[in-house]
Amino acid sequence: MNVPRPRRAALAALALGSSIALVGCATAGSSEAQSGGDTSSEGPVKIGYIGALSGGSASLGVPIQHGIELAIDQLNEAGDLGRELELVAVDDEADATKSAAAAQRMVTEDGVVAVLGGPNSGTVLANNPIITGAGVVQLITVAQGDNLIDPETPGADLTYQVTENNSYDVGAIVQLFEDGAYDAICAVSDTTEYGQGGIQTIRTVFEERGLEIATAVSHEVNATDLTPQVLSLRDAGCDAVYLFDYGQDAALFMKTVNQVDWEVPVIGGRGLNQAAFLSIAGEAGDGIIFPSVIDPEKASAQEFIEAYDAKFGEDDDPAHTFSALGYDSVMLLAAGLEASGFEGGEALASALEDVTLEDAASGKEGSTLTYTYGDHRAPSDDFLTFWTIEGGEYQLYSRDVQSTRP
Amino acid sequence: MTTFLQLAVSGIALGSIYGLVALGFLVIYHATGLVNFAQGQLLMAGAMTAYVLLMQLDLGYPLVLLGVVVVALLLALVFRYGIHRPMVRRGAPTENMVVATIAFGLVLTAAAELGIGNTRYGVDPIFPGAPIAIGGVSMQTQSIVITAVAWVLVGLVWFFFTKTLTGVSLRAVGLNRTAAAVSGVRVSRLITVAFALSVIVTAVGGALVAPIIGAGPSMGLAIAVKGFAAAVLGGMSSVYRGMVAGVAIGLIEMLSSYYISSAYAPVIAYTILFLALVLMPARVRKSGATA
Amino acid sequence: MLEAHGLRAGYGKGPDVLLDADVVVGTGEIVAMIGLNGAGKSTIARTLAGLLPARSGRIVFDGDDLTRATTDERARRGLMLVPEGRELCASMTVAENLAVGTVPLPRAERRRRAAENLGLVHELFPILEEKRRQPAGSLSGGQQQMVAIARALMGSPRLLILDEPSLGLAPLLVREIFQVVSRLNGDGLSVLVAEQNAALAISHSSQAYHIELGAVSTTDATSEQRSLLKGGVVGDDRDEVVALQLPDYRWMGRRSPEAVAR
Repeated sequence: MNVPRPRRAALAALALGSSIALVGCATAGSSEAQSGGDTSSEGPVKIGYIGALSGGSASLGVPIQHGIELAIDQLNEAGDLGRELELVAVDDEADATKSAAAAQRMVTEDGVVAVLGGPNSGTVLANNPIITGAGVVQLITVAQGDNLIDPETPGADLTYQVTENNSYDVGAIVQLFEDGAYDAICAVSDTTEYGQGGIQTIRTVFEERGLEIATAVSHEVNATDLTPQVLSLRDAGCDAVYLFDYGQDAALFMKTVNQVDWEVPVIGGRGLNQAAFLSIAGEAGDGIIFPSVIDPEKASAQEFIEAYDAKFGEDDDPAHTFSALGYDSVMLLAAGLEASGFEGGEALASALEDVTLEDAASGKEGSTLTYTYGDHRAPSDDFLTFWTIEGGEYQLYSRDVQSTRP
Repeated sequence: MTTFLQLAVSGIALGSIYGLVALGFLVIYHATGLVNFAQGQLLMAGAMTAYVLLMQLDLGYPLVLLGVVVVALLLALVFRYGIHRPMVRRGAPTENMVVATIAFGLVLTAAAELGIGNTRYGVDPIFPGAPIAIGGVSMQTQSIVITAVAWVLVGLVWFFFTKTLTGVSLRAVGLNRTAAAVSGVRVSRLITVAFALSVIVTAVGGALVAPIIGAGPSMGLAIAVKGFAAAVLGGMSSVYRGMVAGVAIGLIEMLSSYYISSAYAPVIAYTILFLALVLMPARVRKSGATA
Repeated sequence: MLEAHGLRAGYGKGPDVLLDADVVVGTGEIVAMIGLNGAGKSTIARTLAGLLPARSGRIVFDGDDLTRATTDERARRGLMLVPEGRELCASMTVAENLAVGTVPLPRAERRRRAAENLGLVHELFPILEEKRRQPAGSLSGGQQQMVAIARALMGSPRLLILDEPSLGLAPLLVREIFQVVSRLNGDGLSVLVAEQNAALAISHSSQAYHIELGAVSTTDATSEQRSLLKGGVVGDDRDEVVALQLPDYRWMGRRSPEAVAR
């Protein structure tokens, strides 16, 4: 789909606003390792992963790592690659400075052939110049910033995004609202710059699609009570709510909606796929709708979920969204490595430009993860599904909402 | 009207938590003159303890509450014997001690982040089940529990301070340490009692609020600021006035958020705190502490 | 009952204000410390009660060394101070102030003995019963002094140290308070009273120390004190009171101005 210029700008602004961490001042990586990692034909091929394994983003970073581990185990067990893969995982605690330092060590000392990026856009922005500066390929597993794939940056040739980006998600959410033909769509966000910027962008995008936000309310971040906000929206006659919150605030909003017994569709963001959200919300999260990359009717997704739950347990990542993206990142990388003869750097980068994953764990049936020359964003159209929570469990809400590449 | 009542019910529950934190502030302040800025983190410690015992170790609520009290007691002893008393003995100025309370709070936060994790965790309510609706006003059972327990605790603390010899002696320690000492009151021990009481009340507040807003290392500050506002607004004098002020702040927050603007609600709450800080000192001096 | 020897004490990091002071109070005695304002009477009282640490010397009460004991421990053992300036909890009621005074009583019989002592206190100071629900701070100076003494009596003291009980009170009230003290002494209570009003104090005392600034050698001082102790001053003897104000009875341990300057 062709996106008109202004909307693209608006979406980019939203994406920028939603980058979780600040961009660190990363120094350019050394150019000594120009070959881009291990090309020897001896021993296992090392793959790096830099993500938040502790702290607030660990509920994203850990499932990603588990997905990566599952993929590596399966590949090594099958032995079809001809070479063993070995994971080198480093915790950056979602801190840009630590992430940059980890990247430096990974490319100079560990000799990884490629680095998988973690869940936070801010840390990826910090570590990407170092990784690509050393001539090493980076695949971004889960971070959604629209600006992570930027042809203007020096490392663009070596950078690949596995996940759909923010604009992709927002477009799908707007589509959901359009399909619902609601009379009064309302919005909720916190009073931080992130929240207010988000509402502003949503307004702009809505206008372009001929929709409008009837009422918007805000609240302190990590609020202790959202009764006034919920009652305000209810009494304003809203018949659908765009909840631009995640974690605790989203959980509290849903609790309150359920408490005052208000039947209203509430649509939130992809971050609600975290087990942490489910843990806070419990059954009170019931009814919230959000985008996901899991299609329960797709055979490859079913196989992945079965294998994942067998290895890590059902409660490890009940939504499977982030683990699936980690898993698929390895599968894309493995296809590239096979084609490049396990050579990293430019060879791997150009090999990746011919890779297509038809049976990825993530994505709706019929969608693919495909890289082409000059297009390093993998998800094809109709990649997303919408999920909800019922009785404290993740449930499919709809497979019918169209989603398009921005 | 229903909307108003609904907001009022929420405001009272929320304000009762502010009141408990105010109570925690006041108990230490009365006994030692120290304003304890770690109160919010002590609330967090209670919530996190409840999370670990209830959700990770699957203990029942009676044991969870007992565990929260035990952990609170331990923290109080660490605070008192590890930080407060050594500083008093070295004749540290009050401002150093206030900084020490801030540092203690930061350490608690870091410990919770490292030991448990830096995110919000859900905590099951004491009585799970659907909200209770009365005449169009619905209440979460946990909100009812919070309000009831908070007021019972305030009642108990009031009883302790006015009807028991230990409580009256503790007030004497705060009002006039010489008077207490020459009367044979074990001053040092009673200050420890005050720390224990304060931390227990605050930590129980944290355990109560966790099922509503979750438990996480950074949860304490917002509540502590409003609890402190309640203590000041209540004249820094009596426990029940702090409680009433807490409920007032909770109500103002809820009502202004609905009837004026949700975006300005925090501003309104903090304006009240500023006004309280600017206008109150004169009254505090005049009234002195009366339980 | 109380034997304190060689007491040295001072304020903060300042020099010694007490210089090897000796104080002895026998069982059932009523002993006065007289001297001008600032002579060191309060310093002795405070040091004996533990409000001021003794830098050297020994305080023995009932055969136990209490030199290092805290104020509250001394109070619980029956060595009770009625401090200068009364030190009441102003915003607490009279009844609550008196209640705090019952802390030294043994827990098992606290309720019974507190009731007995309250009866005694109300008999001695009927006004306190009338005002028991009022904040102590709202009472007149004399009534507050009564509360302070009454509070000490609530804990069944064995030695009562009164520090300047007459300060700022009308003469009539002062006389009333001393009559009460005399009566308590008659019932067997040992008393040490620091008092500026020498005539009054001595008229109610069995012995007196005269404390004042002065440069007297140590040996001299000891002998002075001994002679004072041996001779004593029997109450109600106006002539003896006059005699006490003579320089002969000079001092008990106040550092001389030269020593301070050094």
